[in-house]
Amino acid sequence: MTKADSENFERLLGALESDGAQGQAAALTLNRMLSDDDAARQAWIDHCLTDAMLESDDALAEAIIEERFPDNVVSLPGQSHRSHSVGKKPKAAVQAAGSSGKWLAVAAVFAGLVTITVLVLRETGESGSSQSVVAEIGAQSTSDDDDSTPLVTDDSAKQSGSSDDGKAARRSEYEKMLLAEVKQGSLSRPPTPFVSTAASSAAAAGPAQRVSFNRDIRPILSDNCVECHGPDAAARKAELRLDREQDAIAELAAFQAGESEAPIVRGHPELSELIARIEADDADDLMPPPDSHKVLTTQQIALLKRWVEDGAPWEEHWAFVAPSASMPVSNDWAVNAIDRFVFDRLQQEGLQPSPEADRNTLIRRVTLDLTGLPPTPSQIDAFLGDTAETDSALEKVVDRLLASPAYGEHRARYWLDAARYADTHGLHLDNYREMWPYRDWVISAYNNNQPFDQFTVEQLAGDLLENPSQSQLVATGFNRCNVTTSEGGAIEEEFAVRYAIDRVSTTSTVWLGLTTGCAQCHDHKYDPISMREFYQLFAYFNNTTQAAMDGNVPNTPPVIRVYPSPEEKSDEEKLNAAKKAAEKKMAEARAAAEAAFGIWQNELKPESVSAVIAGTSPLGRAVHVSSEQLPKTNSVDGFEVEEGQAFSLVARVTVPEGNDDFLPLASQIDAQGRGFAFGLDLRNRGFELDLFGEGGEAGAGGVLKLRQIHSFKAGAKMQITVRSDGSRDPKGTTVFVDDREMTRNRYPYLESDNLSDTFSVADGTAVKIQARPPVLSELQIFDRSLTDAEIKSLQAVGQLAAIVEKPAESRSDADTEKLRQHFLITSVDAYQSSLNELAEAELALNAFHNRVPVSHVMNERDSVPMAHMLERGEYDKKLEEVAPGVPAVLPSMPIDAPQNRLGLARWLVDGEHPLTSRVIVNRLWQQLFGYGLVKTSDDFGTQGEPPSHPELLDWLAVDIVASGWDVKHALKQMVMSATYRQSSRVNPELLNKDPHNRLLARGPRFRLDAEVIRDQALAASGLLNAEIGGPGVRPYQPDGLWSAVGYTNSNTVKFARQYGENLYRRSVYTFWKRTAPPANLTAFDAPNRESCTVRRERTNTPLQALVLMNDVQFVEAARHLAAHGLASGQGNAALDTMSRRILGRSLDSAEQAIILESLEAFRQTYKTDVNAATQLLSHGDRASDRSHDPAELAALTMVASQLLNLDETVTKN
Amino acid sequence: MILSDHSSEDNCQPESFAALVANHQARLLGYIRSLIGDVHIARDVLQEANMVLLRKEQDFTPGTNFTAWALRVAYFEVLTWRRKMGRERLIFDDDTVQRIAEQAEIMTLHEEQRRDALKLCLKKLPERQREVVSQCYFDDGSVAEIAESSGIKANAISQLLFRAKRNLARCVRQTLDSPGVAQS
Repeated sequence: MTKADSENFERLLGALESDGAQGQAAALTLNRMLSDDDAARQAWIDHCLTDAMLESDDALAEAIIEERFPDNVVSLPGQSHRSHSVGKKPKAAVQAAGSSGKWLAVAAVFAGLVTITVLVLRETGESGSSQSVVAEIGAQSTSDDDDSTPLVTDDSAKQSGSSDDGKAARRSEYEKMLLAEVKQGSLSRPPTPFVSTAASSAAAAGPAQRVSFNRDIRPILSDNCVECHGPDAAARKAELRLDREQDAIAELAAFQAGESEAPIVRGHPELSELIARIEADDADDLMPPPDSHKVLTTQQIALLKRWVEDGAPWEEHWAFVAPSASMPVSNDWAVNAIDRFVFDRLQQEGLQPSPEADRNTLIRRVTLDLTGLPPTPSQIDAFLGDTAETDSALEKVVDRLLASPAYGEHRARYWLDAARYADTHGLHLDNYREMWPYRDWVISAYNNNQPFDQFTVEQLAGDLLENPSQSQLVATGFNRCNVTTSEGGAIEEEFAVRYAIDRVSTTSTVWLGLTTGCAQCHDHKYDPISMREFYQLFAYFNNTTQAAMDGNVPNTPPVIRVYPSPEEKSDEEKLNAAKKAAEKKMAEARAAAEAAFGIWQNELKPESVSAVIAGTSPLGRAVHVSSEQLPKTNSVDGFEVEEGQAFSLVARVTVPEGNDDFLPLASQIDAQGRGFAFGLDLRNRGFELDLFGEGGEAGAGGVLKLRQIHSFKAGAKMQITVRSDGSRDPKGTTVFVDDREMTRNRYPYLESDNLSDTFSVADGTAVKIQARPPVLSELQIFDRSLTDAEIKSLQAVGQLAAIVEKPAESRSDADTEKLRQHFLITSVDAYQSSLNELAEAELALNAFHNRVPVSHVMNERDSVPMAHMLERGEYDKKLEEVAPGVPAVLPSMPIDAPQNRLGLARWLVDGEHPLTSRVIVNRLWQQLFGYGLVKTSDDFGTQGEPPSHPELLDWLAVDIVASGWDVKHALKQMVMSATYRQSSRVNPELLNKDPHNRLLARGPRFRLDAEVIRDQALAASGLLNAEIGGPGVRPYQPDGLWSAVGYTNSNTVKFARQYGENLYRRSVYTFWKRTAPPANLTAFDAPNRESCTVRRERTNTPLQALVLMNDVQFVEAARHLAAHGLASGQGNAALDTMSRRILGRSLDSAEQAIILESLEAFRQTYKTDVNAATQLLSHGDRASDRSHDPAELAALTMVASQLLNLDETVTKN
Repeated sequence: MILSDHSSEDNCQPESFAALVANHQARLLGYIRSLIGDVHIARDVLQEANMVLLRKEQDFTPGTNFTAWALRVAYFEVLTWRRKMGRERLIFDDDTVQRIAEQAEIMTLHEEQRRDALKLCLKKLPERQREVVSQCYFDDGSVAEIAESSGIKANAISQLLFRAKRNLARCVRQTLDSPGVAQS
């Protein structure tokens, strides 16, 4: 076991005692260590056995006590004698739980045990008793000197015999020793292993610079003190607060008068208890306490002293004070205001800005930043050829980019991360959620440059505006993007609470840049947000009409239909009117035929039953197995199904008990294995229809499986009709139970589809009957598509025989109605024609609804929003009820503001709000520069990092509000600045001083985001389909990714990729399944969209290169990029075209030489192995020009693949 | 695994069954705790095991290996407890428990040596550490009580106990590993 391991042990054994996640983690670690390490196990058992022996081994106790205390009395100096009678110690009894400090002791013992392997025992035999000195080998030996405490010391030898001494003397001696021991412990604290960035920046302040509270002092207090002496009343120790000036600081006079006991005395470190405590020698006095594992560095202590000496000037936390704009004087370098701030800071740091980047770099940088796409060669040429000053030439480019629709798509992608937008519900089945109109709304809001305040109000409270437009309602989808569930057994109240908590956290992160989540269980430990205030925010979101369970449907209410245009809405109204008219005509026809029905019914005889049934069967029935025939029929003659031919299956069934995935009813499979199988899915209470290509289920012809779930109850008796138009489109199949069309999921979902192009069954194939009465009581197969009316009639006919056999007087009303229906359909022309009109109107309406999407929206209950505070955030532990409200530390809510989300939204964008504007411009800055001016763009609280350029941040915040929340204006200003236009070239010195470019002495340079990398490859290769909006698309993805995480009855368990143009859409349109987000995007740190993300990770992994080299999307892009090259010529000409398309520049001669060499090697390979070339070129659906020589195209494709893999390609430079 | 017939203290003369149980408390507690982790729970499980042992007195043949039998009973009590607990409250997984049990069974054989080592090591402790250990263990004094009576802060007592036990643990292991001590 290593030293680090043993230190781990010490910590984890301590952690074991805690019940929470910490204890869990410790348990896991301990288990892991003990499971595979003999030495660790020995140490652990040693520890348990020794401790148990000390605790309850009587023989040991006896021996020790007799030896050391012959009078059988144990006494500690100063303590009243506590007699210990060994003989009376209860046998086989459990002792009361020992000391509270035992676990601490355990930790120590254990740490000792595990380090023992590196200890050397040195015998220094003297005066009979061997004296052991344990010396530790290891880095810690100097800092942790009590590890080497000798077991026997000289004075202990003297002490053991001093039982005659007076009690007082012994007591004081004992105390002295204890104190010595304790002091030694405190001096041997391990040094702090980390230095906070705040400390280092403060240290850089140097003696000349004034100590700044917010920059230098607050981070120290916040990191080290405030957890126990801060806003959280429950955790507060000694009733001391160091987060508020009035509690922390005393004036000298007040202190001397005894009126204040505040730990900081202004200007007097020597009187300040805080200073005494942080410098204390005694572990009991030392702050932070040693067991907190927080240690102040000497620099931090010095800073605190200096600050107190300077009069302890206090500042409110910068982010809670409204920004105020100041403007530094201009300088030669500055293009706009931004540069003045940046330049000033560089001057302070003794740095110079970098020169402007060349135009090639600049246009690629700004095009990627504003549109997420690379510039085209002609756009580059236009910019390079523009003879105007870079300023005005660049402005033209920027204006063009801001006006391009790609701008909105790119900006929306950042926002959709924050909004946690996805196309599935996220929990349990993770079924499809129709939500994309919201995504398209975001894109168009950015493209229309909707002012950010409106953008905010519409998303948070569009439904509460007066007469909200369709677009304003769609915008409220922001609060419907959270993950939801419909899992059986999930407690509705619990999930309703979770959704509201998610909405509070998301809103806080996105607009306030505050982490409020922890306040759901207790007052925030660092920021002034009490638990009560959290639930006041919670109340705003606690008044929705949304049910907690999403029902696993794509349209969980409240939803709205989203009409592409107002005309379409009137189309729907027309169809509804037509439907109503047909219904009216039907009612009239029915009334008119009542007399005729009476006569018909009176003449009806049981003998005529078969005639009735025979006469009512629709035409073209190919197979009919009646209930009489079924028990003795195994198969009947089938029929030929030609390619694309429609057919209908009608089965009368009684659902049996059971839990089978597939209970077959009937199948028709020809000698080649082609055919269909039809059965019940008992587990999901639904049906399954499988269409097999050649070879059956496992064959080469593939299979198409359709499933319609949750359609009936166990034990139901019904007629099932499956109507297929013979195509492989799932929309071509409809399932009916009795006469009801199953529309819950609109149409059956496609479980798998690798069927060869068409479906057919050979002539002369028998239909196999696979179920018996009572499960299957009648089967009919039609070689055409049945109409809705026919299905209805068939359903009635099925029950007619029994009704007709009854005497007329014992028929129920329902029976009579069935007879009437039959009569009307078969004998009354007027009724028949109106029935057909109704069917047409309904079909048209269905088709319309399939085309017009729904989107999830917010809808407020009539009541006043209220919320109960919840103990530890648990839904069933209700505390006091609170009304909506905002945290006291932030501006107060206007008295006349609506007490709902609308009030909250307007408050956020009031313009006076200290956070919203800063948070927004900071995120825009982060999108361009990689890091925000506040690096922790998700946390502007006291635990967040202070801004690198506070005045610049404030200026930008004030400016965006003054501009009318104009996002394009804010971005344009940033990309036009000299700061942004700097070259990103860096020298080792600058890299060392400022690795993350926080000082902005150079241009931004970082790896592109996932979507940009994919879109760039599509654009550069000419594959990109620029269509805007619409349902999520499913481009190439390895098989099985969805089924690996999916429930079998989820409607997104099987991934079926799309064909054609949808393969080449921008990544913002890729279907986002939360439990399995697009793999080639997550490889580049795309989030799973389960919760709000405003700051993506940016990692480098080998997987990324593998995606770029092997993902079909990129291989296909490489081929098309190569084809573009070949189209412009051979060799260097081809390479130049490719390079300009992907890198935005020509290659220099050195680069050309390298790539040509590589091209030549590939040529040799593919010339000798044409098969390999063909194989490489076969990846991806879109064919490239076939006139090219395959070997040459393949070789160039490999070169293109290398280009797509270049660091320069995946990096914004 | 072969266990030696009797622990040495059982050899001299047949002890009463109750005395045997009583004499095994320490090693049973240590054994159980090594399988469970938490000392408080281990004490409870030991109580259960004791009750089973006393109830099953007839099943035990005097002269056979009591230690092995008692450890077996304790082992099953631990398994029973594990079944009752939610999985999330268990510290060790099944495999690890199995491994610890095998090793601990062997290690309990050195009971005499361990006791001797412990006696020796207690003697070697600095006086102040020894005092706290005896207060805590042989007087059953809680840290709070010791703190109160000595006027020293509880935190400081804990620290002292911490160091005392670390020193003891090292010393015991050293002694057991030294060549002079027979490995049973």
